[in-house]
Amino acid sequence: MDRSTPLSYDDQLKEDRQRLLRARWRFTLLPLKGLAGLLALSLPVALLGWSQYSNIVPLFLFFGAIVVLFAGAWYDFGAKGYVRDLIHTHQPITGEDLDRIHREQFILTLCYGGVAGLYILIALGIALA
Amino acid sequence: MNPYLIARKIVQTISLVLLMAVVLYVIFRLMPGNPAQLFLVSARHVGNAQELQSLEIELGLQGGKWNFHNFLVYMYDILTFNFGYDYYREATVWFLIEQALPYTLALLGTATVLSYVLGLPLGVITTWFRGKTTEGALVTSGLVLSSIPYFILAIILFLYFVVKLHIAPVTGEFPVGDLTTVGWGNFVTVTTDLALPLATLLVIGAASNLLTMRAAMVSVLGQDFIVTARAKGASEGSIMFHHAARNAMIPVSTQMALNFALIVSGAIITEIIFSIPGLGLLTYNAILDLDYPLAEGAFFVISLVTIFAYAGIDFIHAWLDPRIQI
Amino acid sequence: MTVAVDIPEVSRVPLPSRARPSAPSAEKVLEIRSLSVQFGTEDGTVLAVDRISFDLHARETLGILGESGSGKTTLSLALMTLLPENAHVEGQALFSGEVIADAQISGGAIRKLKRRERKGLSQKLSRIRWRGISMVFQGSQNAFNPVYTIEKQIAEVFQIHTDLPKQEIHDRVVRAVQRAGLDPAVLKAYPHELSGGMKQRAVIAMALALTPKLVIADEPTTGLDVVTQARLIAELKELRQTRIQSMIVISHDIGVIAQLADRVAVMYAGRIMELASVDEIYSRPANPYTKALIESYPSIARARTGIQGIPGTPPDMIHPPTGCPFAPRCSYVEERCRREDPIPQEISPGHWSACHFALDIQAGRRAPTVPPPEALPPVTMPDGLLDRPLLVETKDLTKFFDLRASAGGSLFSRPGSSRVVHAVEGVNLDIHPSEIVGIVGESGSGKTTLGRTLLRTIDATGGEIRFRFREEGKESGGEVVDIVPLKSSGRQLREFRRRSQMIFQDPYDSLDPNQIIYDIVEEPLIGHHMAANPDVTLSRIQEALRSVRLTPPENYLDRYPHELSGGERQRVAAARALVLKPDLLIADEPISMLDVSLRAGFLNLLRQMRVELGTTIVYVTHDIASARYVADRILVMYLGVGIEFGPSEELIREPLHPYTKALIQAVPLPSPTWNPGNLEIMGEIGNAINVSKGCRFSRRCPYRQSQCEDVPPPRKAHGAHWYLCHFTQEELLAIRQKGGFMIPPASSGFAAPP
Repeated sequence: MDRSTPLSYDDQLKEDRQRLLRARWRFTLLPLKGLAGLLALSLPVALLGWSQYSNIVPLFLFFGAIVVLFAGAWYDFGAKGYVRDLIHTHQPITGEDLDRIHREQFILTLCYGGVAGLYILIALGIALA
Repeated sequence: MNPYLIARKIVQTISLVLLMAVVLYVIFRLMPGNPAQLFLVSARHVGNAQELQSLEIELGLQGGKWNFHNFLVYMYDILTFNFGYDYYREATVWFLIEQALPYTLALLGTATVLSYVLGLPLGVITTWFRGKTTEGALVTSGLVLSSIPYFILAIILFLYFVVKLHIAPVTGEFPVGDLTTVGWGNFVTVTTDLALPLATLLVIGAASNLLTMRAAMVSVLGQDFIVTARAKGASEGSIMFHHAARNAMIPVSTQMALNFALIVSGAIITEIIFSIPGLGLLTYNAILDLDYPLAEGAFFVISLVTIFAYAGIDFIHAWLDPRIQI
Repeated sequence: MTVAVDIPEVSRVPLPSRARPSAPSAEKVLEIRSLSVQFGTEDGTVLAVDRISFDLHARETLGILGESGSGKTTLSLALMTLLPENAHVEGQALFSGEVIADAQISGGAIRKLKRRERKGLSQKLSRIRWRGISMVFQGSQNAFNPVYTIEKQIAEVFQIHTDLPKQEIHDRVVRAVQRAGLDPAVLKAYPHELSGGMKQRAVIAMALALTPKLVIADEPTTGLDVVTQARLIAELKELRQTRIQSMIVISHDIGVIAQLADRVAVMYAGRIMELASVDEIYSRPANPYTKALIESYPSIARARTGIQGIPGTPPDMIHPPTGCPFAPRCSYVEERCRREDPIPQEISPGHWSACHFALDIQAGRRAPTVPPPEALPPVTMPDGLLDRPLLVETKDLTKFFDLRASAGGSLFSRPGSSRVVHAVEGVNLDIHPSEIVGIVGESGSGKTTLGRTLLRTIDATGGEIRFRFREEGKESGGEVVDIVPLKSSGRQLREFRRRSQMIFQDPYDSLDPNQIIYDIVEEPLIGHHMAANPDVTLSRIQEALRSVRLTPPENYLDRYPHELSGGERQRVAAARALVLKPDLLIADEPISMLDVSLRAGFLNLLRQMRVELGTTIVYVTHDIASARYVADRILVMYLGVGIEFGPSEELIREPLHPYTKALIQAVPLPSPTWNPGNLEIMGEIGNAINVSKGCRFSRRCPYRQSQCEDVPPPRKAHGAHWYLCHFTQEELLAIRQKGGFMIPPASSGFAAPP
């Protein structure tokens, strides 16, 4: 954080953009990890040749999808803590800041919605296979 | 309001509806017994294995309780309000709910709106008359009334007005048409039939709203800006309604959501006691009969009403409080 | 009332008279006749205002000086007829000849009025309120209704009292806020969107909107930063010449009162102890309470001498003592004082004092009858202190908060602008054993963060904190360890935690109300596994209580915090910190919540702790006068950077850095020459995010030159005293004379600093 050469404004913008994308990705990764975990948990059962596999696992994946959608819709993604930090460090909170917070939250809600869709696709895939 | 925030609130509502559908699915699958078998038992018919199997196919139960295909069918059906056919009552579940819903909405909607229209101003008035007998009388009656359970008040009213005085009808079974079409005669039938159940919900709801509003008003009236308003020469009415009540509404509106859930449960009980053929009575009978399709459908519709009420309350809250909301 | 017979012949040097548009006229705005206010509570009747009489003339400003609980706020509420219903009033207050407070119309008595009388009263009140008397409330942070815009709330005043059309009201509201030094853009804002200083200005704009005959300002600048406070005082002084007809200023700060008032009423326990012109009160007080109050607090205007504070606590107003209410705390007390109520007497024209010995006190002829409770600790630095080997040394100590570090921060922070808070940056501080170092700065200067980083309750981002682990009882020697990289579970950090303790600002919050004093003081011992032997523990606790002058300790051990006064609670907090016998003690604004008369006692305690226990103390404060009194050396912080460091006397007398100069200049003094109108500082402190690459202060510095913004300033030393600036004192003077000096605007207005 203590740079020897300060960035130009454009570079700073570019870097901030990348940072933003990374942060979005970090949040989206969470439910993806959940998906991987669910699949990994069910893998040994699948290898054992459990007959109900294509029935139960998709069901639970679907439940998971709805939980992910729900979490994406209701979680504040750290916005409350961020606003608290701003207040603590004597900074103004402008309407622009709030707009950005709401937009980012909505984008992440959509991302979570997308991941929920992935859950459902995989569930359908397992069920049909 | 920010369009992204509104969009997110919409997604929130949708996600709640979906979650509700899944929770209902899981709860009903966790219940013991096989619906097909239960159906045969209650029909006093000892069916053979083949009958049972054909019934299972008809009810969508083949392949076990936990079946992905059945789940998808369930989700599709429930979200399109296709709750299936009710063998006990010889009608589609949706038809039954459609018949019952207007009673419940009329009862619940009127009771909710009126309990606020009555309770909030009364709460303001108690603080206005602080230290006088009016305040004491209002607060005491508020405390007493709000602590009576719905079913006890309903039974007391029923015994007194119906059994003793014979001035109210025993059942509120008026035709749905009276609710859905406009006319003076209809209005009279509806009000006489719904008077007692409405009174039950209204008295308790308004009393508890009075107390919540009063508590909020008392804390707001102690704040500095009220002293400022007085010093500015604002009239007592302006201080109470313009300055204090608007602020007191903020905590009250967060309570609204909770109160709504309570009043829903109250509505179910009063419907049962006063035999109003609404969703509450329908659900109650469905559970007694172990009529799963009907119970599932009724539960889902009741939750939908609650979820949409919550969403509405959310917007009211945002409108009342200009401070940052995330 | 008896008029004193002999008027003492003391040569009076008249202080320069202040420029006034016109002298106070004979017209009486306010006449108060033996006004008393009592409150009925569950515990009994509280006497809040006790037989007060005074007149206020047109074009005059009266200051009311008093501590909390003196009845000054109750008095102002009584004048607005805003007393709560449990209040009972005796006597009378008249505003322009109309009764505004008496036994029939104030407090609970309103209920007993007949309908017609009540209607008449409410008509009279709506005529008098705001148009006749308006008010600037204490703690203006909450004076606005949070759900309405500022415009709506100021416009309300016009809607209530005038029949003006909407457009005209809007124009007048705009003019009102402009006159108070605000940009009309604030009108669209909600109260929570404004800073403290802006809100205060908006409150003043609202109070002056209808040009009332009388403005009552209750602690109008309390809670604001010293620079903002100075500006507001300047603006109020200016408004007093143009828009304010007469005013009552209520404050506990004699500097603020002296700047705004013509006459001062000193209140104690609901009474006016003394009433006289500002100059008389300050230079020739004739009441022991006034004298004690003025002398109880360090001032940067006076010589640095020991101050005693006022022993004891204010009386219990449910059972007020017979005789003089100040007698139990007075050092000139005699038997007569406890028996006989002193009657206010006019000892010279316009100078009233409620004391049996007013003339003797004024002339200094009366010797104290009660010796001071204990000798004052020396105010000077112990000899050879700065030659001792260092206890703590920081090297480029830095604490950054990255708002992006949190998951939410990286999502929501503004693109294209840095979101790193430079809370503390490159601080080099050396602290000798048994030294008291003051850290002074405005809010947002990073002084609290620095204190906490020194204790490692916050982890530093960079730099070193070298701490000497001395052997018990030895001045020097011991291992010097850098605290910053130590592992949080390590043995050495545990040992450091035992040797370093903290006292917090709020004595009401920092003590657990459910624990008795024994438990509270025992807690650190338990935390460090030193409470195994109950006898040893008890003796340690008693020793700690004794060292903070809570004697005898047995009387305190099983009491709860709520049974103690604010001053005693803060002493318990100090005892809790001392029970581990720490080497280093950090006191973060320890006196800011205490009453003025109790502050000196706690400051003396800090100095005594250093002498008796050899404790090293870091005293963090926004109040430069108290830092001067208690500290040997002072570090001035600005936006995370220590910009000046030196021996306190030298730093106050000859500040080197332009910021320190402005900060000292901004402290209101009871002197007519103090003029906050030409403070050599611009704008407000802002935040530590988009700081300039060069000098932190460059954006507010009137001496700013081209290099200041880009090049970090070098450290310039004058012996033990250094400051961070590009210019020597001669160069600064030259800039000023050459005219490269920017005269800052009188008010900052709404525009945020760049």
